[in-house]
Amino acid sequence: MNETQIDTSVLDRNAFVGRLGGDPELVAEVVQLFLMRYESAMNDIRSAVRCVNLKLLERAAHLLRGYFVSFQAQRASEAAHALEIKGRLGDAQNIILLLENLEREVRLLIPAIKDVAEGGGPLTVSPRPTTSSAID
Amino acid sequence: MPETNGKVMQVLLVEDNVVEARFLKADFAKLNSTEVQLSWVDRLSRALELLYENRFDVVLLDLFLEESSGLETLSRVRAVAPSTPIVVLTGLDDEAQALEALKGGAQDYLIKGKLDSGLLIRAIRYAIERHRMEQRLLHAQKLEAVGTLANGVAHNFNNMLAIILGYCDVMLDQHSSDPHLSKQLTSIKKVAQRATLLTRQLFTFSNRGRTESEVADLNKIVLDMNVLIESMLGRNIKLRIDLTPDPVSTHSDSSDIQQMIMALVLNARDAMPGGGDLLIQTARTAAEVSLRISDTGCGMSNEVRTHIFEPFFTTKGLANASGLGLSTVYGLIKQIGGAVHVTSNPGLGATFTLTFPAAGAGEQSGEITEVVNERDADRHVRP
Repeated sequence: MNETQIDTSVLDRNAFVGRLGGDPELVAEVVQLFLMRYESAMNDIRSAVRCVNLKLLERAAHLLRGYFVSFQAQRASEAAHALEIKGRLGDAQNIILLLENLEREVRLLIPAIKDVAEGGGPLTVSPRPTTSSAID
Repeated sequence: MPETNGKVMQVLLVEDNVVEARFLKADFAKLNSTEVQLSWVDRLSRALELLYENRFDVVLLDLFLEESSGLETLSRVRAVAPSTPIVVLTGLDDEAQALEALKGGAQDYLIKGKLDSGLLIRAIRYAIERHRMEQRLLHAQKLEAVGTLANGVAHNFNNMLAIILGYCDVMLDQHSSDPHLSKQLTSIKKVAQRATLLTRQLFTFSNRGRTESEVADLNKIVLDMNVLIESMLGRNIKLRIDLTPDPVSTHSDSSDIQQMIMALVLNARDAMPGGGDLLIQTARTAAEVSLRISDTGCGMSNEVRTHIFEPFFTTKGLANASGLGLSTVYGLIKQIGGAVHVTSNPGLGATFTLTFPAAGAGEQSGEITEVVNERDADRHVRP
């Protein structure tokens, strides 16, 4: 995959915008809702990992995953889900690595979402990191 | 929509993910706005409050909330709103839990991220219909179980009463010269005969009594009973009879129809202690004839409605009523192959509509339909 290809696994722009009927105002509103909230969930996850609070980890990762699922952001969703499962199983092993993976995916996703909200052109993202599959 | 009789469908969305909630709102907005009214809450406690205070046609429920998660969320909602269909909202990776939720009483589930307005409305309609079917089945099973019990009790009582009546006759023959003893024996015999009538009513409910079929004309039956009904109602209840000029005949024993009319008229009378109006109407469609009895009495609640066809259920106290009137109506209409429709609201009277297969119109389904009140106007029970 080269850098000019659209990677729908980061954000399936057509599915996301399509579900909102292609309404640019609605897209902007939903993106704004997300941008106002995701950072709080990310902070909760960081805090949960730092304090090894697995119950909080499960809860915050679930909420964040819900946001990503709504946006059809598959890779970020999978990254959050991995942490959510760790929290649910009470297994703290590798949670720092999983958090790093999540941070990476979020860094890819946020500009892509903002781009959609601003009515930008085709989405261009870097290839999927190979480290994510080796983490857990 | 057929499921809600054209009324606006009230949907409660319980979802703490504000982004997903906004997506769902957008999905609903694509539907006809007169079709669905969506209420959204992000906390379970608020959802439980709303469900306690209001009636919703369906709940869209995210199982994973801040105050509760998994099947516990479902259980808490079902505890507060046992008669409300639930569609669980789940992530793709939580499908196993959604399947568990179906076993736990949810009617359907939807996977977030794979939704659109068409899928959403189909799932909601399906959940409502599935819930109705479940309720019908439960009610029919309950009435069947009560019928089996009633039949067993009636059978044993009948045998005992036959022995009592037999000995009464023997003793009356043996002691005919003793007027005091004869009088006492006659009293025993009368009571035993009344008890026999009660057991016959139980047999009727359990559908194991006799059925003698003839062509019965509803209009003629009502006219023949006119004087009797007026005398039963008293002066403070005004009787109005509105008979269709169309032929309204059905295959049934006339006395069975008279018995049903009596039971319904007595019920209506007792619902109007301060007076009111009683309307008896007949009507005909291509395949069915019907008899409608409406009163302006106290009406009934949903709770009362769910029990009215059970034997020995009465709101008048068993000292004042046998509790067998409507259960007899149920048993008779079941035997005839007709249906009984009930509409009622507290304080707004009640209407019972008996529907029979028109004579010559062929066999009918034997459906028993309860149409309960304005908000539950299309509930059905199939025995």
